[in-house]
Amino acid sequence: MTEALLKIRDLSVHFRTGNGTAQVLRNVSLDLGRGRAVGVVGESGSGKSTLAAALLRLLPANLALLDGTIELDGRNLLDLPIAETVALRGTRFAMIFQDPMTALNPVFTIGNQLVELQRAKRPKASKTELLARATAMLGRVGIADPARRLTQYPHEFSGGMRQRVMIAAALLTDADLLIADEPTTALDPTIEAQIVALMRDLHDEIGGTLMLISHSLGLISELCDDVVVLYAGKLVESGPMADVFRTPLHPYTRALIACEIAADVERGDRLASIPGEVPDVTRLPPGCIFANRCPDVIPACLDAVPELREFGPDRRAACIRI
Amino acid sequence: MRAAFRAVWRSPTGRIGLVLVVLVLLFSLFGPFVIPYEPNKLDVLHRFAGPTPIHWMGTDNLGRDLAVRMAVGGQIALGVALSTIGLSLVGGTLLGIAAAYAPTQIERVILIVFDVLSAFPPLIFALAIVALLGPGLDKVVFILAITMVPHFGRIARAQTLSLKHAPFLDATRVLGASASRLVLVHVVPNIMGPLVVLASMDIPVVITLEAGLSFLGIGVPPPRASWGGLLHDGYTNLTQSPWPVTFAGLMLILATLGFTLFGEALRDAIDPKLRAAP
Amino acid sequence: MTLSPKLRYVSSRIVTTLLVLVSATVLLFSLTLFIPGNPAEILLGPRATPEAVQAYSHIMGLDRPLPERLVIFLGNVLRGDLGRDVISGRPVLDLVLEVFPYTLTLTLAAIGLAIVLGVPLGCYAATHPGSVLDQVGAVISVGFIAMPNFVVAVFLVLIFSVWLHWLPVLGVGRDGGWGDAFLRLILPALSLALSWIGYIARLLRASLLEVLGEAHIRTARAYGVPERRIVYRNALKLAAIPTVAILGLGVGRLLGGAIFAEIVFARPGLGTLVYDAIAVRNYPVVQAAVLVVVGVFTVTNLLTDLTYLWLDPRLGRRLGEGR
Repeated sequence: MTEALLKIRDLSVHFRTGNGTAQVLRNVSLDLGRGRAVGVVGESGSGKSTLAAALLRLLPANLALLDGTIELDGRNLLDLPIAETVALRGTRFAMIFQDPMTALNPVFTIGNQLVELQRAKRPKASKTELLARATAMLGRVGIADPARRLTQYPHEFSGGMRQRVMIAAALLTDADLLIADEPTTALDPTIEAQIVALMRDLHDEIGGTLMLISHSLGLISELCDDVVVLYAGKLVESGPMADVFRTPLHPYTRALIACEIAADVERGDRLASIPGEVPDVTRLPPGCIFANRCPDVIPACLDAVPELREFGPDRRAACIRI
Repeated sequence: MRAAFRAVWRSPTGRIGLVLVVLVLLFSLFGPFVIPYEPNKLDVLHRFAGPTPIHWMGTDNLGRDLAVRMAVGGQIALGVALSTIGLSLVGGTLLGIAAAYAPTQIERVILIVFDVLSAFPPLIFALAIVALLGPGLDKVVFILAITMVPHFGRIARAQTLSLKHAPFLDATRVLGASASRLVLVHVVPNIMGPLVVLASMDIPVVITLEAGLSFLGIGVPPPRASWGGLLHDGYTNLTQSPWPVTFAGLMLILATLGFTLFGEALRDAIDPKLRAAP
Repeated sequence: MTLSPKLRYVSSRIVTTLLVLVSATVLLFSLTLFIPGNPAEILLGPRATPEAVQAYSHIMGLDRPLPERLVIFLGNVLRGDLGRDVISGRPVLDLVLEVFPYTLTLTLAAIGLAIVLGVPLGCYAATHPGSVLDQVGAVISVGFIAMPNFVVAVFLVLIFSVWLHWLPVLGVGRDGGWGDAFLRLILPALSLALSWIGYIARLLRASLLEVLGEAHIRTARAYGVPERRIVYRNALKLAAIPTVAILGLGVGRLLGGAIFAEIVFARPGLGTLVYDAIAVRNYPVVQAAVLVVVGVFTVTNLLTDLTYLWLDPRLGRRLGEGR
């Protein structure tokens, strides 16, 4: 089996807040396999966006703790000076953000920005060359009349088109790892379907490693090979996507899947939901993080944080009840 | 209001501003009573004296005591500021409200009047008028008030426009309130907030303008002591004594700095509260 | 199409500007009507005979009906005939054009100085918020803004010339060549620029801080764009927009302040011209200078609006959607 592109081990990220220290990520470990599409699933507050930000070291100033291993090519990025990670941005790592409406600078043309975003990888290339690449890529992501579009400003593009531009920007870097943080959340459903189809086609065609962050199980099931489930900063389950969604091991994963509205739901049916609220990560309980909402909870769950155990090839879950 | 002042006191810069303002006020109002000299009494034998226990700030080019002249200058500065701002506030607010309620054509005329008045920097306008009609304190106030009318007028209009369709106004009108009562009792108090802030931030501006005009000799005519005039006299005799210039300059800086800091702290205190108000 | 609404906006602004200019001229003209007494009488002095006054009145056109006088005046202004200097009889336009370059140099130097010193201060404060230098800078900025520029000018003369004997101070140094002229420009330009440095530093700090928190900056960082470039190019262009707008509005004060700088530092210029003219009630000169200042001011406002439009392409769309 080919070695994973990125190995994340025991990654922990804490922030200083007005209420105390928020332990946003705690001992998260996962592998990003080469050429695989890995989905990171979780609700808001699960820490999934922080995970992506941590890989690029794009963390805010109130960072209290950044610990663990992010191993690329045998080196732990967290041991190296931050300049090493900065050098990876736009060269080996690329990122697509959630809200396409604000992700582009309004006072520069699309062409201008697409050229600038390629410079990290190709510092010596001429502007003409980079513009030509941008034109071709815009066409590839489905934007008509790309040469003219390059001279336009972001406000002349719709939300869906702007997200295509962002995808184009990411692809132009020829990065080894593409991180997409909720790429379709801000889009209309019809547009979302188009973008999803585009991403699937591109991933099939180009290969490359994709880390897709989303709260939508549907999206993950359409695009991803592997899936990782986060809850309140803890990784609770991981494995191949089809396996996890078909036979979820962790009670949270099971509840999540049950919450997705089924196709055969009828008027008057009760929608499934998980009782309770996501815990406050500044005040963590001693035991399992999901205990207060878990249908299978027993007293032992409250004593200690369950360890992540193996349940077969690449299958892991953190629950003492399995 | 009281809450606003408390907020000003809490901010460090606001506190400094308030202290300076109070000092300037006290000095200007009570100085002439405390200092045992007449502001216009000449004493040419003792001119250009430095600060001494006899003359705290020394004497000017004609031997007049500087300290008491500074105090009188303060009274003039504050008086001009208050009357100018008062006049332009009232005039501007009336015009602004009128513009908000008037039919489009009249509103357009009022707006053009604002634009034309704004095209004249106050100093330049004052120059033109003084060249024609000669200097004088009342003329200064009048000129400055006119140039500041658009300043208040535009804000008053914008505020009234946003308020125009507030439900409580419609309710009051339905209850039979006359137009003038509507405006005076209901509209004005609700738009006063930003206007008051603007007015307080204009005090240092007007002080500077009056001092500038007097410095050029077209403001308050001698022998009345204005800060600008004192600065001018001191400057023309700079080689004889640096003290008049130093004291007059410092006085102006302290006054403008104090009022600016105070005004800004007041704005910061009132503004967020305004946003919270309905 | 986004071009047409833009064009409409630009032309409406130009029309408004022209309207303002004409109205200002009319206003200035009507001010002359308030001169107590007959202007001809004032000019010729108390010993003039009634016949001489009447003859001169006729030459000045004072006996024609008011609307006619107004039209003649406007026509004259458009042709560049701003009257004749009361003392020397020379065309006022010549006098104004003679001294205008000096005022222009001073004003441009002040703007340049303000930008050169203010922008880095603002950028530094925004990139190091809360630092000691930032807090000190904030207080200094307010100080600069509050201080009247003629007080600064006088103090500069006091310190640098009278006390320290460092810099030549008065006049423009006609005989000294470029270097000397440059040295003599520093202090006057500084006195004008000081409050602007404060304004720019504060405005830029606030808008830069806001812009640097926006999502597109995060995009640029995520793609490895160097931080320096992000601040000075990506963020600055956006942050400059409100700053330029507010500064553009302050040009009028800058022109007013130039008068003080010229008088305190004994430099020739529009300010000195007006000052001397007022002393002798030389109204044509004052009127002409005021017209020039108003003209420059209004045109600058127009240019600021257009620059605003150029800097922020989103305005084109907003105009297209109507307000």
